[in-house]
Amino acid sequence: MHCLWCHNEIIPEITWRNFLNIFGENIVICDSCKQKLTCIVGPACPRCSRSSKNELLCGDCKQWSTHPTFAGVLSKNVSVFSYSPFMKEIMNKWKYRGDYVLVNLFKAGVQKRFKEDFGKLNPTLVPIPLSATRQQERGFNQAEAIAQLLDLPIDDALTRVTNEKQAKKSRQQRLQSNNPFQLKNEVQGPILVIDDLYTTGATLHWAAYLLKRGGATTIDSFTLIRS
Amino acid sequence: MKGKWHWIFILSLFSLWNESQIVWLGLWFLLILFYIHQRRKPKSWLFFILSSASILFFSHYSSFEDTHYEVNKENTFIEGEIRSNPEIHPTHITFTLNDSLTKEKILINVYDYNERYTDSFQYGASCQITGTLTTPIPARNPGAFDYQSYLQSMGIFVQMNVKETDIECTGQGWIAFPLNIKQQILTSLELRYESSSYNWIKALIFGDKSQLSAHLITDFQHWNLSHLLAISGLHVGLIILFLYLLCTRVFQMSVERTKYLLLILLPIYAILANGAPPVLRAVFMAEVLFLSSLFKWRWSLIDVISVTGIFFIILDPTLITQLSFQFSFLVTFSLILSSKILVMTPSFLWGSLYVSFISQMVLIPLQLLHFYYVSPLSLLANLLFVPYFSFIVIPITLIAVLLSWTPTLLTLPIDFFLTNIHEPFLNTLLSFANGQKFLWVIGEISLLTIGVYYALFYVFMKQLEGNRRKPALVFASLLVLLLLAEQLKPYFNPHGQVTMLDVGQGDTIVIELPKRKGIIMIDAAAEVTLPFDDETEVEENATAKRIIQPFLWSKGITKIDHLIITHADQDHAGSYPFIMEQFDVKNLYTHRDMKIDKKLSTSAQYQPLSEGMKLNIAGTSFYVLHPKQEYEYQSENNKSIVLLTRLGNQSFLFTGDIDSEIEHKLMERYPKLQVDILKVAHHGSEFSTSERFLKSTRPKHALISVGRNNIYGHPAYEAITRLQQQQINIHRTDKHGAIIYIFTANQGTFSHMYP
Repeated sequence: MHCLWCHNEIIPEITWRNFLNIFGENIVICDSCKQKLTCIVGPACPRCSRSSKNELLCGDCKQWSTHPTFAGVLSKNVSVFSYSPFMKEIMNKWKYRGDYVLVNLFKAGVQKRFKEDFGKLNPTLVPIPLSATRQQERGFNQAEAIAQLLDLPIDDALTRVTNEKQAKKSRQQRLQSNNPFQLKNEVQGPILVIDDLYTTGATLHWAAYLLKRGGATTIDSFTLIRS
Repeated sequence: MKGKWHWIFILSLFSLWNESQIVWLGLWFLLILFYIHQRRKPKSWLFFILSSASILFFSHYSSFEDTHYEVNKENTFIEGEIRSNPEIHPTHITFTLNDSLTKEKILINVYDYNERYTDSFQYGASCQITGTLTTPIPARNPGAFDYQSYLQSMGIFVQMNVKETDIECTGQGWIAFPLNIKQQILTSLELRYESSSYNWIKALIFGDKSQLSAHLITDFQHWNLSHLLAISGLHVGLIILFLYLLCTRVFQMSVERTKYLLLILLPIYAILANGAPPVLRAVFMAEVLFLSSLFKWRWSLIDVISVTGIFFIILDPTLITQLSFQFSFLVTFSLILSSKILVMTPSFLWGSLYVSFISQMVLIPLQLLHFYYVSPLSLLANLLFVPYFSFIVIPITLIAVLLSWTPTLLTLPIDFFLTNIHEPFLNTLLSFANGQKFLWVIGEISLLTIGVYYALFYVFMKQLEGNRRKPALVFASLLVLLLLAEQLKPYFNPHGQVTMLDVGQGDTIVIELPKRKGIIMIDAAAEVTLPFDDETEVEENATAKRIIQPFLWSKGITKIDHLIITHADQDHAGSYPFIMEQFDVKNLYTHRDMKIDKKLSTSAQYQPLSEGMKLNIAGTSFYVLHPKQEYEYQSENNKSIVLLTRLGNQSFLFTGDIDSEIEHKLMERYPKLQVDILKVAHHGSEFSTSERFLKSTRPKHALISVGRNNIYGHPAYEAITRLQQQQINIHRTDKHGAIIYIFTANQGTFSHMYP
């Protein structure tokens, strides 16, 4: 077995936990790479997972929860990893250079965090869509790839109408732009919106806004990274 | 395959050990089917092929067969090669011989040897011997050390005792060369150091603890410290560390060169240190690790030990039945599996506490299987002694060897430390803390309990690794409860047992009442002639230590409710001081003339017995038929207490050493006396067991406790004939080993140690 990221051989560590596991474990990432992949632990904003010194609501979230349009549409966001230069490198290779298989680097972390925060919820997953041209460019939708790591029903309830890259816009621009999504079909029950990044939260709030109107009871979001 | 070799090792062990291989193969086949169904990782086919192959290979690799030789035939001629380092005892020399024809191992004892010719007995020498092959003596008593299976575990089924004139050896193997050097080093060390310093150096560096005091070895065993006296992985690790630091720091050698040097030195050291399985294991593993680091191979430790294990059992499959191999691998294995737990420990002290704890927990079933006790307080002892030996005593003994060629001035402090500080320090400490007082004697445990123990232990370690304290505590408590349940088992056993131990020429009878309502012991013999074949040196209290105590411990007995000494002769009373000291004796009885050491009977109630008295023990009555209160008897034998009781609806008469004069008096006093089972008086002497007595009491079974080949000619031909004429079943300890009578309320049956 070799590490998906650095290609060094992985020597499995056999301890009491796994020594009776006759099939062996599918380890995809070596210990040193795993350590660089920083999970969000410790105090963070309870609503958006942003790391902070205390467990209080962060400034952005205060704004979101009193916003005339978006107040109450998104209950909370949970993110698995924090953004680091190492993570940026992985995202580059995965998203922009199309190394799809790298999604497995996140698998264990994503599954663990999902079980901790949403294990009892049994939600329907709604990945944030790409526009048709962008999907064509990249070959896959990263949000969908993340959703597929979880063994739950996926509902592509949203489509993207505009083709603008969020990354190229400022915070102000993001908040002021129109809803980039359209609802394809009605939804029901608890909904978990999946995306790769939570930066300002604008995209997810737009999506949640539509889904709420489309019949969802509760809406949370689950994102790979909180930047 | 990486991270999976331990499976191959475990499967190989099972296939070697186990007798119903078909079942295992079948299970394995099912697992492969399941695996095909799952189809998770196609790469692991190699693993399945290798493991199936190892099952097939090791199932047929077993060498636990019987001997090819015809035993007990005179003038058998054997030609072969010496395959062990000959051990020189005062009376004989012992070594194993590999028959060059049959390849079978034979134990040779050479008696009456001449000092001048011992040089011809060398490792690798070819010998020609004429003599009689015999089978080693199996255990004669329950719970006792079994010399036969001990030898069998090393692949030896026959032995030959010869005189020096019957054997001729020439030449030597290459291995004799380092062994000779070792002998020379030892001789020079012996001249150089005080004897007590020398004994420690010899034990700790050369793996020969035979000259340390037996008392010390027993004390160390009771505190679970034996691993410090035998060369273990710990010693090898320390020696490697020491030499490594010496080469790199003091001699300024490069790390790479040092590794190459150690690669060469370690195997030589393994030979010098007697090549016991733990040393070989540690050295082999160290070699693999050095090679790996030199050639940049990456292995996980679990694979290294597994491959080591597989290599060892291919070389010698009999290893798996050897205690030192089992202990060494089990401990190393579980410590490697615990690496995550050990990394988590906050400090070095906690780390070493965990190491001791895990090693001892994993060994408890084996410890119980062989020694019947655990030492709950040994953790403390290890915490104190392991660092003391690791960082002080072992380095000092090693320096003592390295400096032995320098001027005496340099080694004087070492000598002084070992003889005048270390040894007295140990003795004082051990005399204060008598380890035996703290032992938890549980008794022999069943295979099922061992299985349950290891299952619980596995879950416990898993919880510990996941840092889940509460579940871990629950499973730890279950482990203790399991041992407790094992100890309490006799209290629910509806069967009672009478055991007449084979103590050689003497009497020792233990009666366990059903549901452990009472333990009664009649007589405690000491050695008159030894029932041991394996050695001639007689240690103090040998019978008590090697026969009576192991038997009682194997039954989980530490408390004797009633100890009855029939009379004061050595072969009936010799071990009673030892028993009084080592066991919790509640009541002690003798005849009124016997002198009792007041110091011994402080905790026990003492009462002299005489005719007409009755002991009522948990509903079972023991009637005293003899001796009379006021009458003077001529001989000690005729003062013997005679007891009548009923066990399993059969009447038992215990007669001590009375002669027929007393037998006839008993008939006069109790004309209606009927006996089902008679303990034959005085080991079957011709002056006891008269025809009249037998005709009158009409016993069905006669028990004779008598030594093999004793100098008194017991049992007498006349006595045996009288018994046979009355068609009485005769049970003899000299022929049958221990004699066991298992009974319930209504009946009982006899069985023998040798069927």
